[in-house]
Amino acid sequence: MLRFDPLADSERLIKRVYAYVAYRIGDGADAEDVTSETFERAVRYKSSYDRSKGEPISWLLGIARRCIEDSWKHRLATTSEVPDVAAAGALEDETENRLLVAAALARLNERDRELIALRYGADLTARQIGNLLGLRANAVEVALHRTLGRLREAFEAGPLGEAGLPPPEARSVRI
Amino acid sequence: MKRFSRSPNKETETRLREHRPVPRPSFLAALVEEISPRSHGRAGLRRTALAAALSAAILGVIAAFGGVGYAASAVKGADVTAVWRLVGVSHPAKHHVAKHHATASSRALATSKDNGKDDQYKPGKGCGDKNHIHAREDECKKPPK
Repeated sequence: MLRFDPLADSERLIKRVYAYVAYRIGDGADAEDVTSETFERAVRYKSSYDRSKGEPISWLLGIARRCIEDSWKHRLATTSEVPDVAAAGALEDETENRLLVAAALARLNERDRELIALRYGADLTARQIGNLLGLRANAVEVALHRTLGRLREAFEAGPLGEAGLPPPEARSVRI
Repeated sequence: MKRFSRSPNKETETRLREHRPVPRPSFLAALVEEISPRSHGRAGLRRTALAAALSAAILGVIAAFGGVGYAASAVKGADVTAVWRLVGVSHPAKHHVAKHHATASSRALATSKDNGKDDQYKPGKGCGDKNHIHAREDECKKPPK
């Protein structure tokens, strides 16, 4: 009998996992490392995937979350990386917009970033996020609404806010 | 007409979706290649090809020394001997029909009538036998009286 392959649609899964990781820890080499590690573990433990417990993306995001925690353990500091916005004027619009989004996300605490990453990075529904975090779908929707409000304020405040730095709680607060 | 006001977070949501981080194409391609089942399948194919090549080489060596013919004749002989044993005959030529068409009853009949004892002992067969019956006058050399 043929087994279901959770990594069959690999390209789409990689894009979703990468977007999630990049929203959590920032776009770039670190996100690539964590994404690679996630899929390496997924291939290694592919036989342990249980289809009845959820979709492949939820399983992969569970692995990705552990990979992010492991990568944090290896980092000396847990400060959120704020992109160099001084050079943003010389970059293309798309890149500039991504930097602005990253800068606004850097002002959020880890719980808010996790929610944003799961919803808009990995493209999960509120129900799927609830299953992953052990919350009710309704609670997830309310939390997301509040988080979007804070993010909107961060966008309106500008790339680095009035003080020029992300709020202190954004640097070290973990879920 | 009253218009529904747009959610204040809609613009933020759109912004997050439109400017979602995307992996570099080279990174994406490399990772897809790495986890693709085809790359694992190639290794399996190589193993199968190696096993087939080794099997063919071994068969070639055996055939070169006449091992195949020897083995085939041995198998054939073993098969025939097994049938003889099953049927219970000692001489295959005489009981060819019995060997190939034996049903349970005919096989029992054959074994009761035809056995090795009948082939070996035939009273009155030789000229030296006291029970020998002379079919012709000059058949046996008569001792001088």
